[in-house]
Amino acid sequence: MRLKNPVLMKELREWMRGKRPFAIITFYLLLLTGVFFLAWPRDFGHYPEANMGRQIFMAVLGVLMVAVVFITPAIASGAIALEKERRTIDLLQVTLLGPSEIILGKLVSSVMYLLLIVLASLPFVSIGFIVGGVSPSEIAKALLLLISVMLGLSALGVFVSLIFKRIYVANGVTYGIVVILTFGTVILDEVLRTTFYQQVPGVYLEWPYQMLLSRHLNPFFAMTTMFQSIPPGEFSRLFWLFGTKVPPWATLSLIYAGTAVVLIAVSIRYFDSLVKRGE
Amino acid sequence: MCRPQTSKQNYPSQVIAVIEIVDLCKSYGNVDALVDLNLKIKKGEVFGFIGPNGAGKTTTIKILATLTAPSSGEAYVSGYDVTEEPYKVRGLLGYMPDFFGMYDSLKVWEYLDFFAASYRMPQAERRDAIENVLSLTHLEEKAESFVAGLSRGMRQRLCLAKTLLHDPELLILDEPASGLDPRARVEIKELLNGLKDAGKTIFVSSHILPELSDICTTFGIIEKGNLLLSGSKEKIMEAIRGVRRIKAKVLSDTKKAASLIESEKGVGSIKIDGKEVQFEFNGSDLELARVFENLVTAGVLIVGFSEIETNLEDVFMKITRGELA
Repeated sequence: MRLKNPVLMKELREWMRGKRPFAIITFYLLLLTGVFFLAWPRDFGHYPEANMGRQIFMAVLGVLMVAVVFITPAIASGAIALEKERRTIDLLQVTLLGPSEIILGKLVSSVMYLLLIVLASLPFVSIGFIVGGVSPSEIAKALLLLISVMLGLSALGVFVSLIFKRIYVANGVTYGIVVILTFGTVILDEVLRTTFYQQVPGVYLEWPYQMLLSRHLNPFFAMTTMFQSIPPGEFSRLFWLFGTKVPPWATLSLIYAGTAVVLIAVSIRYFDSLVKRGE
Repeated sequence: MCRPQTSKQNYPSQVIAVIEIVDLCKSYGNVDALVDLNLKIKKGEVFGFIGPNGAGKTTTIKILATLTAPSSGEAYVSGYDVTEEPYKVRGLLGYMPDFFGMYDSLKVWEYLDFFAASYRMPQAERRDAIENVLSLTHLEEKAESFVAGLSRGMRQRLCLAKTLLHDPELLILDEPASGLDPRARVEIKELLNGLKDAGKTIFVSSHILPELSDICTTFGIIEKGNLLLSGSKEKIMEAIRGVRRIKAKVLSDTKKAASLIESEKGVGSIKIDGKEVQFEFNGSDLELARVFENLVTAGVLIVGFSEIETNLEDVFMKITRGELA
């Protein structure tokens, strides 16, 4: 099979020839196996099967989300920065390839690798599914969330790699943003909650937008709330403000996919000027 | 000083040159990398762009290759404006930068296949095109090797092979022989000669003149962003005809001969080298004959009196030292 986009074909060839992709997948599968056995109920036989399947599925999904969130920056943030660092970008730019082919080739190659990781997890997911307790719609929701996060973070990585000349800087900046999106949002939400609570002494007045940032930006938060039955008041506040009640996983998927579209468009539109930054 | 871009004139000229550069300027902050560069290169010419490091060669090349935008002025490749129709220009030229990296984990044929696809070459034609350039650059046996395993000279040839893949009418080569050992330099030189014979228009830069003097049909000498001189080898030599270097070999009394020569009209710097007096002379043949006559009349015993042949490298050295500008 030959792919139409030469950059995608080249990226896949280069990427899959290294030792790193196999090392990452091996490490990931070992981790998944460990978590799988920990999630496996000790009192098997007395345990309701539905709960067991759900528990395994959630554990596998958790590991998968950790992998997606923390592997994506490593792959995507090297996209253009590596071409600049090893001085291949000029040769690429003087070909007839347009910025869209270069950017999309880089982006799709990183998403394809991540999809390979998702694919490698399927046997574990299927066990949870076979045992029961997980509906097909829940699996679809989980996949949608994962793919949106993959797209959003890949587009972010490619955009950052377009701006910086050195791969380690692009790597550092992308990981920095990911840390803010995960741990940072939780800390900031707590700061907001305590700050606004303390402003009204003697009166219990809850900060009305609890977990505002995590709800919209933190993939782990969205994933943990995915399997809970959420009371109507707990739906996404941002969308609630506009009169629409959307659960966190959907809000976050929309925000990540939307950000991906914007970042890809900006990367393509300003490709030439961004590549030349710092020359 | 570079002027701000004004409305474009009706370029290019009637007879389409492969390269036409009109009042080209490029500034980086307060530094002028190129100042009012004008140049025209016709089809089939092999143009040697010579200048010391930092003279503006790479800036000119990057503008022609559509990689850098000029501050003002225009540049055309086969009539297409490099800033307004970059994709048309890219299809017509093959560019080889001075420093470049490669995709080390690809095989040689995969590397070429990637670039062939990037130049929109149909898949059915790629195989033949790759075989042709591999044979031209003597890399046939390396087709299945990984790029990482190639020597510096082979990488240079592979880059040239990539540059030739889409059969461009213009080749822009920035310092193609830099950093190569003597054998690899000869190989690149032979390749360029072959391309010259094939009728390609070649724009090749170097900071070392002997590297290019026997390949190029025309030359341009650039320093500090200014094109000091351009034209055929003969034209450049003609331009410096005004200053000749003469050597007079005497039997004795070199100091007396030197002081006599120094007092003559049109004589520039003078140097004594053993029994030889070398001097620069800026005058007619008749005036030179008078210098000789006066030396003989003064009793200096002369056994040789002749003009030192000036080669292109001397011209380059003189020009870039500011002696002729």
